[in-house]
This record gives sequence, C-alpha cells and structure tokens, in this order.
Amino acid sequence: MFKYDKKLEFPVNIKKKDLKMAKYLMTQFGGSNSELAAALRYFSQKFAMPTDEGKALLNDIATEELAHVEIICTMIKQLLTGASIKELEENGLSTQFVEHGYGLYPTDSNGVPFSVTYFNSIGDPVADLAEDMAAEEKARATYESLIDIAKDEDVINILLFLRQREIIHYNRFKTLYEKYKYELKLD
Amino acid sequence: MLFTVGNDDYILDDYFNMGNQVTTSGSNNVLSPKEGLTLGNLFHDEYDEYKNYKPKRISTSSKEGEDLLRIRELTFAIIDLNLKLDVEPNNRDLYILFKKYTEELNKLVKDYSEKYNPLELCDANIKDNYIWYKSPWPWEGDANV
Repeated sequence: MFKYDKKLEFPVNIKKKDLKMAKYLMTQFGGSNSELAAALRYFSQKFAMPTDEGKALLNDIATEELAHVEIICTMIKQLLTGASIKELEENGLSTQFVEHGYGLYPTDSNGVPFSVTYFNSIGDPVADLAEDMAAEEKARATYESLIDIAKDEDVINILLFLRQREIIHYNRFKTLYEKYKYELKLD
Repeated sequence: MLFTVGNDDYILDDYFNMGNQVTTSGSNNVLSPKEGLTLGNLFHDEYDEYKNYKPKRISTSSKEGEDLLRIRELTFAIIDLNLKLDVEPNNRDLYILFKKYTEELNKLVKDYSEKYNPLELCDANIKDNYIWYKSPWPWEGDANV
C-alpha cells in the first residue's frame, strides 16, 4: 500500500507568476518523458523483476517519481496563482482554461493528453531496464531544456534537483541492468 | 577533511570553488544530508553539474522552517541511501548511515508533529481534535517555509 507524507521531497515556494513557464512544465506532468510516465512505467514493470534487488529498486524509484509528479504540479499551480483569464489568453492557456478551469490535468506542453503508450512493460527485465535507462536520459534532457528556458532562480533550483535525480536513477538502473545482462545472463 | 559524513557545517560554496576536482574515497564520498538535498544526490562522485548552474542553498525564515528542512534533508538522505542499498545490499557503511539517519528522522518527525502539524497520518492523533485535513497542504506555498 501507499502512505501519504504531508510534505514535498523538495520545497517549492515560487513567488513570481509565470504563465509561460507553467505551460512548459506541463511536459513533465503528462508528456512522453514525464514524471507520471516514469512512475507508471516502473510501477508496472516491478511485477516481472526476477530478484529482490530489482523488485525493490523498481518499486522505490516508482515511489520517488510520484513524489516528483507532486513537485511539478505544485510548481505549475504556484506559477499560475493569481492569473486572470486575460493573462491565460495572452499566454496560450485559454484552451487549457476552457477544458480544465484552474484544475490540473496531465498533458504535455502542447495540451496533448497523457497516454500510457509512452511506456512499455515487456516482461523481460533486461529489455525493461534498457527502456528505463533511456527514459531517465530523456527526462534529463527535458529538464535541461526547461532549465535553459527558465528565468526565475526559484524555478531553476528545483529543476536542477529534479535533473540530478534522473542521473541517479539512471546510474541505479544501469547497475541492475549490467548485473542482469552480464552476470545473471537473463536475456 | 572536506567531506565528513553527516557534518552539516561543511559549506557548499567550497564544494563549487573546488571545481569538482576533489577526489574522495570510502565513506568520504558521502555528502551530508544538507548537501545531498541541495545538490540532488548524496554521493559526491555522481554529482553532474549542468553548465555553470550552482544550486543555491535552501533558505528558511522560521524555526518551523528550520525543523522542516532538517526533516526534508534526512528524508532525502534516506531515499538516496535506499536506492543505492537496493543494488548494494551488503554495503555495511551505507547501512550504518541508513540506520543513523532513520533513527534521527523518526524522532524529529514525532517532535515536529507535536509542535506544528502532523506529517504522517499515524501522528495525527497528538492533538485533542482532528487536524489532519487542515491546510497548508504540501502544494501550497505556506507549507514550504
């Protein structure tokens, strides 16, 4: 089961409204390389992991990714706080407003709804882990684009944290991948 | 010694001034929980700087903020140790650190719940009435003092 912890993994206290940045960040909520895709990918794949190390790692990283979904959503909400309908219109968010009001809905930054076709769970631990390593690299690259485009130091600081987590997750998956492929020869 | 396990007096600015040229070995590769949360990882040799961006220190403006920050730092340290231990379950040094931080965190979480608001449902019974539902929720700025 899951238990809720009433705090964010990394504090989010953004003071400057920035509607465009909110729109860009949507990609990490519901885009193809999003935190949501990562959480569901590892959660789904854990059921076919053959060793205790693999079951634990996939479960634990899936859990952390869900905490990152909450961080991204918190950033989006705070960046939109106080936005008027006129401002939403001026920043390309009027259709988002018509569809979802001030609620959050997982889409990419173009408004394309989240899809589980962004990931797979093929039941082969070596193949699944190869996908996981690629997913972490793509998420890292996405965070780098977001950092490049961001202007507010408070926003950048959180994105730097989340980018570094992708690197750590990649390293852990790589350790497991190499063990499965070259030591245990599971493929 | 520049990297001492669990020593929060260590200054992050120095870390960056050294230009990542420092070589560490053994347990000295492990950063303090404060450095870990700031950088996004607890293991010095895995930190990968992006361009010239330097994470700034996480600041707080109240005693509650300081208490919560220490809880976040320890929570983060435990998460990162957890992932490393999943793939290196026999790493004794890391397990000793894991034990140390979880023991400190459990105590701080109880103390925090008594002084301010519960962070976990099972600590929501400390006050005379039901308070779990009350704001601020984590996505509100007030919860991130």
